Amino acid sequence: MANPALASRRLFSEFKALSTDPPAGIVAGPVSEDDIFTWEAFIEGAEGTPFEGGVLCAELVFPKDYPLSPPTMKFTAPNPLFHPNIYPNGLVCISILHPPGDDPHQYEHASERWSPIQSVEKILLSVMSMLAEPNDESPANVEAAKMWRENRKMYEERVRREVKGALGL
Amino acid sequence: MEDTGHNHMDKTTSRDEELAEQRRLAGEYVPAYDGLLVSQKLSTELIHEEYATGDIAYQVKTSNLSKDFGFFRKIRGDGNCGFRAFYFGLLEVLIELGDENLLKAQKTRFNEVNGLLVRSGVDSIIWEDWVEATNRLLNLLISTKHKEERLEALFTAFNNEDDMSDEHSRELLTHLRFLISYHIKENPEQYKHFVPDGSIDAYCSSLETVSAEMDEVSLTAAHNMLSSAAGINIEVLYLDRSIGNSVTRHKWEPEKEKVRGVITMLFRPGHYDLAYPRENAPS
Repeated sequence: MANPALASRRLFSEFKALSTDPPAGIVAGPVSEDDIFTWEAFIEGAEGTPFEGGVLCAELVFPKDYPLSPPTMKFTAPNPLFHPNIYPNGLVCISILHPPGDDPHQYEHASERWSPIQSVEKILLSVMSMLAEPNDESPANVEAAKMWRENRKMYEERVRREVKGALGL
Repeated sequence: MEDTGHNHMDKTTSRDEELAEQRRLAGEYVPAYDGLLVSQKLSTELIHEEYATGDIAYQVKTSNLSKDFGFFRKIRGDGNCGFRAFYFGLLEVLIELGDENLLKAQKTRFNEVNGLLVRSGVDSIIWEDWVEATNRLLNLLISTKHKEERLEALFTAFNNEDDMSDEHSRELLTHLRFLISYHIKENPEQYKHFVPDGSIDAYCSSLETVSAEMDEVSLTAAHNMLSSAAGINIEVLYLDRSIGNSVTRHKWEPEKEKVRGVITMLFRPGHYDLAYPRENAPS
């Protein structure tokens, strides 16, 4: 198995830092000892959001040239996760995960995009705030964006239901 | 062939089109992506040959270029060419000067400017690998005793793109890129009039996404931080379609009165290579 030295060293440092001083509501780390390039992350649903009381589970897959290029992040539970910025297959669409130079939506500022100075922690914190405050300008899930914009109550109820479903309640 | 008049017109049109196409090709010349990240020294005759069928302005300028600058190094145009050319050029000039103390002083200088990273407040786990890459290379150059072996070690380090290796050259370039960005952020007064819209934040963010190529602002910052105090000057040769028979030469002066050496960068729109003057060339 490919084990690019630099990327794994950096990922290991980040994992160590995240384990000793984890941000509130976040747990993340490699799925297994043999593969530092695939992580699992658990995000607690923030209070005051329809995700409250739930735990969201996502998979992060890192490229060989990390941190030059960003990882991909995909929610695995609840699946599907109904959110304007999450594709129906669970893939997260957020500017911090966009590779350098890749700006399909011209309005994105460089400061919001991926750079080697970003980190797993920064990604997870960005995703947490994205969950609370969707960006409906370039939705990955058009149906969710439309409902979030036009019928907030219905949107929140659907999310609550899915979050509970994922917990097996 | 029946209608000669028509044919004649076709020929004129096709010659015009051909000319336009040649101009376009000359103007948009992009050096080959494949091959080494930093090539061996090549004859500048090769640059002249590249334009043999191109724009006449380029033919004349490249012909004159090879009279004064005998060699060049092709730098891979992957968006990092300017940073790579500067960093390689700086260490190469220091090695060529043949004084180990200059390399030691450069290591000290790097460690001083690394304070920019410490002061940025960004967690050290983010940047320690980049700092280490530079330290490791300088230690290697210092401990290597002969000039030729040092040049070989430098060449190897800058061409290392093995993901399995601990010494990937991109760490060096990422280090330089972030030093430049943080240097500009720490000295906004010095640079704000030269960046688009006067926005230091936007300029530096773009530098840090590793998509932005080197420009005169980042080159100036790199010079102010790393080469000027070493008594190393930068000269850029602009090879473009501007008026004149020779490349346009522009020098960044060092802060020290005594110029020890010069990094010569050959700029074609969107790309930097390194160039080397002939011994008797006018400076």
